[in-house]
Formats: sequence, structure tokens, C-alpha cells
Amino acid sequence: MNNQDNFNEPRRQSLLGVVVYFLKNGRAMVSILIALFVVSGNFEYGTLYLILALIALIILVLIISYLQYKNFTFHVKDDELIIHMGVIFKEKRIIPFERIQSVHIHQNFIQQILQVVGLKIDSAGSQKKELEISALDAKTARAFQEVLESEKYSVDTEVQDQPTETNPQREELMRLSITDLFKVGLTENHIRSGLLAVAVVVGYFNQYSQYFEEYLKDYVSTDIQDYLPEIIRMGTIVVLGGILLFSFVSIVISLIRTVLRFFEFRAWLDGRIIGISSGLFKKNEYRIPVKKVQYLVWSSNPLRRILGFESVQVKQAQSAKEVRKQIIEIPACYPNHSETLENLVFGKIISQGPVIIRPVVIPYILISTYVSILLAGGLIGWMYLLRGSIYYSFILLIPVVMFFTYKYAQSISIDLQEELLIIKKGWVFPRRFVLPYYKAQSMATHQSIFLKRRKLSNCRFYTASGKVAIRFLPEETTSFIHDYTLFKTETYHGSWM
Amino acid sequence: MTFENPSIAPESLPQIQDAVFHEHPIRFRKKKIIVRLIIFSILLVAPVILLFTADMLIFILALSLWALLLAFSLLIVYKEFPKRAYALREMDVTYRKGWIFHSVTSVPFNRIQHSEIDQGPLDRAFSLASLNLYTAGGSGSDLTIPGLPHEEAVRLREFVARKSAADE
Repeated sequence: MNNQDNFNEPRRQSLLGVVVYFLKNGRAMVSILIALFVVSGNFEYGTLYLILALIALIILVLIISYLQYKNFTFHVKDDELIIHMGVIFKEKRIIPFERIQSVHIHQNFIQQILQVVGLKIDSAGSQKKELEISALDAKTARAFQEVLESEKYSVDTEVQDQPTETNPQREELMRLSITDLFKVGLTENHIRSGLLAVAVVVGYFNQYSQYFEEYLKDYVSTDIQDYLPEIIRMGTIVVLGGILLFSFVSIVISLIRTVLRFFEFRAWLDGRIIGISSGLFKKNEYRIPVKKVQYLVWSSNPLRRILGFESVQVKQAQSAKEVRKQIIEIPACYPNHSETLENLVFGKIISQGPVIIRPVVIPYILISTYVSILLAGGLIGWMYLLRGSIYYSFILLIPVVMFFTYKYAQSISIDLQEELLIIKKGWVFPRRFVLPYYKAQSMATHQSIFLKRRKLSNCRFYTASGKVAIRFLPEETTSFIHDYTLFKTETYHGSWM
Repeated sequence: MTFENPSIAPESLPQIQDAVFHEHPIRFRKKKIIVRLIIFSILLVAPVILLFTADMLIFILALSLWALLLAFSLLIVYKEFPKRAYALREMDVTYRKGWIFHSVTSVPFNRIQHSEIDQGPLDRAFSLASLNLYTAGGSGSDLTIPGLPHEEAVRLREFVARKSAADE
């Protein structure tokens, strides 16, 4: 704790923080600028006004950014992190060390150019979003992270007090080579990447469509209805071409996303803290104390099964709002990596237990039948309204949906081990949840009157990193899992984080 | 890991069903009915507007829809009221509720982060209060027990606070 003295006085970030804030605020300005740009076309001297407005806006944002920088101070006092911030509304945040969940170092493209790093501080239970110190030089950031973490753990039993720079027992767990990265990229879920791309494009288009339409409406129609007959007439060619284009774009996007996210991926063990860092333009470094890991999810797909690796999501205790946003993923875990991870987090290598339970398949089939009939009926009706004829081929959807649901339902299994609850689900994209019982925050059993007739119920396992649900189990099984989890949670005397 | 943890036979596992469940006072049902009546009297505005603007037929349809929904809503109150109950055990608290969608939620005392007592204006009129128990598991895992007599809610909260503090 050689650096601690430095942090007892309120201090500011690196002066480069002004630039970071300026560019951050600048992003919000883009929408205003586009609006101004469109409006300016309608006036005489529009361009002149535009430039004047632009200059005024830049000066304003610069002032705001400077004030943001100037009013942001942080220091450590009596086991608490104290942060002052705010330009118009001043705010003082006090975070007791034991509430701090994690301290992450990250670096986006701009921060990399400016040679500064950001520090994200996540505190559990708080409804507010995580705190971010936007610009520190790397050395200060590391020292401060060290201070926060060592203070935090001095409360715990396992005290670990290491000097800052040297990192004596840093044990490498895994790293990804370029080949691995390529494998991960090619075996991503391309359908998801493609849909994501479509969603982004549609989202942007909707956001700015009113401006586009202003310019385009004289030349082309923006109403899809006008093109629909064309599209239908060209039929097969368009569909085939579309599928080809979609696949190509999807794979390229998968690759790009993978490289951006997992470039130079490495994971290491630093005492009882797992460290993970990766990223090309936006570098992220996570440090997760093993104790804070709530559960792990292994996921795979047919391509990855052939290449023999899975990816693992590390679910750690987080404030509710961060759970979805901040997913910590190890993209490629070969069996030996998985074993290391199991040993580390659960204290043993997992093998299949004696008690395997499967949910009842009938409700899945019934629900998929109703849903697919509604879906097919809706589509037929819609096409009838649109084209005036009935397309019976949509009826084929019903068996397809039912088949996939049946396969999915069949893939679900629960391995009730003494200390671990292991849930497997997914046919094409199998996932394996491994949860220690004592990580439960609460347990719930749900049963609708329809399920009651069949003597079935649903089980929900809530952790500090989200909920895991198992549906359509026999009543006795659900209540056993409910009772057993409570028993395990209540007799466990360690801490869950 | 040195703590002792003897294994336990499934038969001897303490079961939630065996716990003693406490039901709500009847005035909680009364309060719920009043709340629904207030909401539905506001909703009545829509059919009344139709009376002056649209056909008689549409007005009658809207009015019967309103009456149907009201009846259904009151039916739910009556049907689900006996399902609502909470149970306290040595180590956890459980609340069950719901008629069409029944649920049983248990929170161990050693996972409770903080607790709160809530009392709205109607609650005050009936001297009721609701007890909110928060965990680190997000909104789905938090437990709300509404419709407790106020002094019981206060007692419960103190009990829970003592229990959850003792475990730390």
C-alpha cells in the first residue's frame, strides 16, 4: 500500500480527461448537428449560420467538458471511496469499500491514443449505474485499483497484500493466438451476428429516416408496400441471393466482432483473483475475485463441437443493471482449460452425477403447437389481406416449430449433485449452467392452474448475477430443489461474494 | 474448507409445505376490492364518452365489456386471497400468492441486504403495511409481503433485521 497516501487527498484525473469528456459529449452532438444541417438548407446564409452554430456548440461543449473535469475529484477516506462530480447538479458519491464489487481498467480507442485508461467501479446493490473515472495515467490507475482492492480484502479473512508493480505470482491460465481467434470468429453464431447487423442498420435508419426522407421523397418511395410486388415477382433469385449475402455479411461481421473483442485475449490468476484482458481498439481488463463468481455457463454449437472447444461466460455478482451489459466471456475453452476453471471456481473437476432429472416434454409440445398454429394462421391471414390468395405452405411452419421445440425440450436435463446444480439445455446451441447451491439469493416455485392439473411446476433459482429457470418439472422435484437449495444456502457459513 | 456439512437424507430435509403459514387479515381483501373499484370507476369514463359519441349498440358492448372485466377482476381478488400467506422459519421467510399463476418465493435471512416498510394512503386507512425484503439478486428475487397489520410488519421487520445481522 505504498501509494495509499496519494489518494487521501481529493485529486483530479489526468488533464487529458478534458479531451475524453469532449469527445464523449461530442457524440451526443452529432444528432443535433444533423438536425441543424437539414434545417440550415431552408435558410438564406444557411451555411454561415451553420458554421457559427457549430463553433458556438464546440465552445460550449469544451467549457462543459472542462467543468466536468474540474469538478470531478476522488479520494479515499475511512474505508470509503468519495467522489465529487457534476457541473450544474453537484453530486457526492460515497462508496464503502465492502460494497465495491469490481474495479475494471478499460481503454477505448481515444483513450489508447491519449495514453490514458478509464477505471470502472461497480458497486452491488446500488440502483445507480456504475462509476467511471474516465482518464488516469496507467500507473495511477493500477495503483488506485490496487488500493481499492487491498482495502476491500483487508476486511475479509484471506488477506493478500502485495506490492503494486511486480505481480510476483501471476500465473497464466490461457491466451488466444491469432489462429484461435480465427477459429472463434468462424464458429460464432452467425445468424445472431447477421440479425444484429440488420437491427443496427434498421435502428440507425429509423433514427435518421426523417432526414433521409426529406431528401429522398421526391425521387423514390420509402414505402415498402410499393416494392413488395417486385420482390415477390423476383422470388427465388432474390431469396437465394439474399441468403448468400446475409451469410457472407454475417460471417464477416462475426470475424470483425471477434477480433475487436478478443484480440490478445489472456487470462491469468493473481492470488485468488482471475484477471482477463482483451480488445483491439477498446481494451478491457477485468479482475474478478474467485469468490465473486456466482456461476459459470459453458456454451457450444455444432461447429465448435467439431473443433473441440466451448466458450464460457463468467457470471459475477453485479448490480442488476450491469448484468446484461457486462458479459465476461472466455471465448475458447478446451477441455483442459475447462478443468482448470472448474477446479478454481468449484474446487473440483466436474463429472456427471448419479441423479439426472428431465422435465416433462408434453407442455413444451402443447405450447409450441398453439404458438405455431397462431403464427401460421396470422401469416396466412396477412398474406390474404395483402395478395388476396391463400398460401397453404405456411402450414408447414407448424411441424417445423414443433420439431425444434421437441428437440429442445428433450435436450434439457438437470444433474442434482451434492454441492452443484448443473443444468443442460439446448439442442443446436447447448449450454451448461453450473451453479453452487449456496450462491442462491432466493428460490421461487411457479405454478399456473394449467400446470397444477398436470402436477408440474417451474423452478427459479435467483443469483446475484441473474436468474436461472427450469420449467415443467414434477411437483416433488421442484419442491425438493427448492428445499435443498434453501438448506444448502442456510447451512453455508462462508460468504457468497 | 473445514466447516462441517453432514449430508442429509432427502426425507429429513425440512420442507416448505410443512411450515406454518400465516394468512392476511380480511381487511386486506377489503382494501384490494376498494382499489379495484376506484380503478374501474375511472375506466367507466370510456363507455360514458361512447354514450354521447357513438351508437347505442357500441355503448352497450363497451359497458358489458367493462362489467365483465370488473367481475373477473373481483373474482380474482376473492379466489387468490386465501392463497396468499407467509411463513417464517428459523432461517428463511417464504411468501406464496396467486390463483391462476401461483408462486412460492423463499428468501434466506442470510441473503437479505436490507428491508423496508411501505404504507400507502389506503394502507394507512386500513392500518396495513407492506414489508419489502431486498436481496442482491435483482427485482425478481426481492420479496414483498403486502397487507400486513402495521404493527406486525414492524415486528417482522425487526425480526428479519436481527436474523440477517446475526448471520454476518
